[in-house]
Amino acid sequence: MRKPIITSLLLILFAGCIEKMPTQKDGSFSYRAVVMDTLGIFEMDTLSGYAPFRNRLITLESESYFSDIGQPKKFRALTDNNGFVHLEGLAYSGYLLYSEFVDTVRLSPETGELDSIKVGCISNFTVDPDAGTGNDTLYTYSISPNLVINEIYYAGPVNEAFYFYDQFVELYNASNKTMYLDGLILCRASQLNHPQLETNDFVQAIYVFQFPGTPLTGTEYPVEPGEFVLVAADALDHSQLIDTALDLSDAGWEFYNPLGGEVDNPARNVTNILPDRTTDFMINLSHNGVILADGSEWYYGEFYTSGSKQYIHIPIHTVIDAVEYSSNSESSKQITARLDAGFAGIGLPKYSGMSVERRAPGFDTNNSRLDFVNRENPTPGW
Amino acid sequence: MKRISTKALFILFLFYAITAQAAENRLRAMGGLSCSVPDISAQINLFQIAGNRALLMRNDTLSWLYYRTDGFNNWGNLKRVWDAEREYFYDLSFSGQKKIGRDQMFAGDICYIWDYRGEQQYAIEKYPYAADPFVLADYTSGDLLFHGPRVSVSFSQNAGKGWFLGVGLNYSINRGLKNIPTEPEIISREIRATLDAAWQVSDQLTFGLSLLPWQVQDITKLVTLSNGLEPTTRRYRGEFEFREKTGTADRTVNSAGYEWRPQMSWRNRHWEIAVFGRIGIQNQELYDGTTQHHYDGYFQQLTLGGHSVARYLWSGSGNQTAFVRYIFEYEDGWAREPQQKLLFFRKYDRRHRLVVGGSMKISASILAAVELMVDYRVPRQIDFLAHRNRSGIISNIGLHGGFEYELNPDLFLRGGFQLNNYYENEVWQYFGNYSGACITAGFGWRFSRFEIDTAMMAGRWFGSRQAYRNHLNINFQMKQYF
Repeated sequence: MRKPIITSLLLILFAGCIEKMPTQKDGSFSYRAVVMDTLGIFEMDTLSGYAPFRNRLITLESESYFSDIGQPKKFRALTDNNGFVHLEGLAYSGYLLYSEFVDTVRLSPETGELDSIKVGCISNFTVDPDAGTGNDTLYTYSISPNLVINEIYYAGPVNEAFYFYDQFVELYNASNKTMYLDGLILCRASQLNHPQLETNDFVQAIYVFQFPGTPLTGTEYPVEPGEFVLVAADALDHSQLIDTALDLSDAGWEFYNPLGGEVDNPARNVTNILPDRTTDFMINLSHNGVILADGSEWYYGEFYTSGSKQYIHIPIHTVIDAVEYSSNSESSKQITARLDAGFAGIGLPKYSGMSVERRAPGFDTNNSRLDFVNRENPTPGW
Repeated sequence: MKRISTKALFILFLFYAITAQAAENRLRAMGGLSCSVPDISAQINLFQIAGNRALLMRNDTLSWLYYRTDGFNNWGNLKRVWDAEREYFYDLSFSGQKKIGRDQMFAGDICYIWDYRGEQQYAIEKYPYAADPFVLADYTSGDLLFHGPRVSVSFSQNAGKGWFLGVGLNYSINRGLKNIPTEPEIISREIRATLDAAWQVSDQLTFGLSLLPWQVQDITKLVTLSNGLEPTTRRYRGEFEFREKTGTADRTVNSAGYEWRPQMSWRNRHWEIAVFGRIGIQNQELYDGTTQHHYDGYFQQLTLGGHSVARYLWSGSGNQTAFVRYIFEYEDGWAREPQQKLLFFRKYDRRHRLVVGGSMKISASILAAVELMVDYRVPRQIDFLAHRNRSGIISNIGLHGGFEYELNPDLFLRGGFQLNNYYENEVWQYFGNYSGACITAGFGWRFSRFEIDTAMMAGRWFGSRQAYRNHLNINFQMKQYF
């Protein structure tokens, strides 16, 4: 009687600690897609009935695996004559898929003239281990014809003095017509994950800085097609203070708070319009958002959890563009996915001297994860 | 084989720390011999061969105190990617053994360890080439200094009718800091226990069984750097693919396992034989995060092995001996990623070690011995993420020799040499092939109730492309009987 008990006990002791080895292997997944042009840029294939985005280099960029510091691991393949691309040996991860943008020309339906436009494809997906192979149909995008936030430099320069006052926001007119800055507002998004984030008809902000002029109707401050607008936190040569900081003395605009007693540099002002906010325009160094709205409407919302200040609500229908950035891809969203479905700046460290910039000027799918890339060297105003 | 060698050597070191005897330096000074020379520290019994604490009192019946300090140093560019350029290991230890009545024996050891790794490239953990494929790394080469205490105790009880029971416990904690970014603090806690039983059937035949549970927790604390930056670290899965993380958090690695060791020894006037088997399991889990722990991977390894030693003594005094040892180990491990539980790493490792040797009393005052050691490994690693399937032989042939000259009954001079030739299949890209030569020396002095034994070793390994590694070890031990 004793022997079986002891034997069973020994078996239990071993069996309890041994886990069964998985049969499904990582690194064995594949991805197939057909890329179609819906913009009329590429020639229609009469047999297949679509215009294949043919012989273009497609890049898959892993969200999890890297090849060097800040450099995601990449898989590359060419689309074939039918626009098909097939990539194998993928690890379990989220991926960003894109093609390099190609310059092309077409007849503008509006002006009847030849337009130079950039076109490519972009998407993201996560490996589905159950399916093994991902299958997608992708469509080409072109540059969005709008005024957009094109680059944000928030991380601060490489320094040990905690200096980050050379932040800037760059706008870009990606349309083929003149746009106007009059009365537009640039806001720092609140750093809250609002419980009704996806159903609210507003976005929350902390600061509101406004361009001069009359919202919606003003025409005093034009932005020509293809023109950049640089708005500096302080339009001065910051490299005089910190070697690695930026020279923003040529900025056309600067954020200015007349209530904060700060120096008013020669650049034109984008002015704080909230009397209870006495700080300059500063945004968080790792996770925050910037909102560009037409300035026609905003109102006070709920009070801060502590203190007497109130959040500012910007109605979504007035928002022209919004960009949320976070160094951590797993952060909670603070701007609704209706305006921005992802994060720019994943993996971008504080005080790294890096910025986030659109993949191509003006490229906007309302998903900053797709639209933005991390730039080693900021490009203020260009 | 080299992938686990550092950790294996350290575990071996821990194991021998508790079974160490004062004369251990005698064999170190004689070329680093093992069992070809009959010695109090080289007995063919289940306590020394299999670590069975139940036979503590059968190993050495005397009570003593024992003071020891060791310095193991090696430096040079013959190394693997994540190895340190310079490794300096020092310890200071105080041990004792006391017989309590007729049927109980107690031994204890308190040791403080300093383990310095100079210019360790990228890896910010203590054993980057351990069996598991998870390695935490950054982008810099820096110095790491680990230090902390270790306590070991053993107890043996004669339960009567030839039965002996024993327990042993090793606990160590150490803390390491890297002096440049990412400036991690690495804390390691290790506890190892043994529960032993032995049945001495007759004067010749003994059976034993040991259960050795263990647990290790390594915590790497990543905090905001002194220059205000967030640390950027790499989390390797295998040796090639890694994820990158910028930010502060703790990395916690919990490893646990146990091993069963059935044993048998037999002896008569001429023969001493000991055999034991091993079956062990290791589980390892990784977590990220300081407050909320995010599961980040799992590794499991099964170890099977056998160890047999035989020594032949031509006469009862041991003036002439022949010795053979054969060790076989098989490791079977795998690792999975955490989210979907996908297999990303698989390893197999077959390891053989054969040692043959002998000793002879050449004259009344000179003893000479030699041992030939052959290590042969066929590891295989399949890295599914990097799409690499590596399999190739790693071997090491070593020739150790030494002598002892008895100046008078209380004073002994010792010397020896070690030659070795290491071969590594090029798929591994670790060390490449190399050869090495070392000389050893030391002396032993007996006076009153004291024994002093010293040893030193100096040598160099020569690799390809002018790579080299120097070795310099200095050991001092003093044993006091009471």
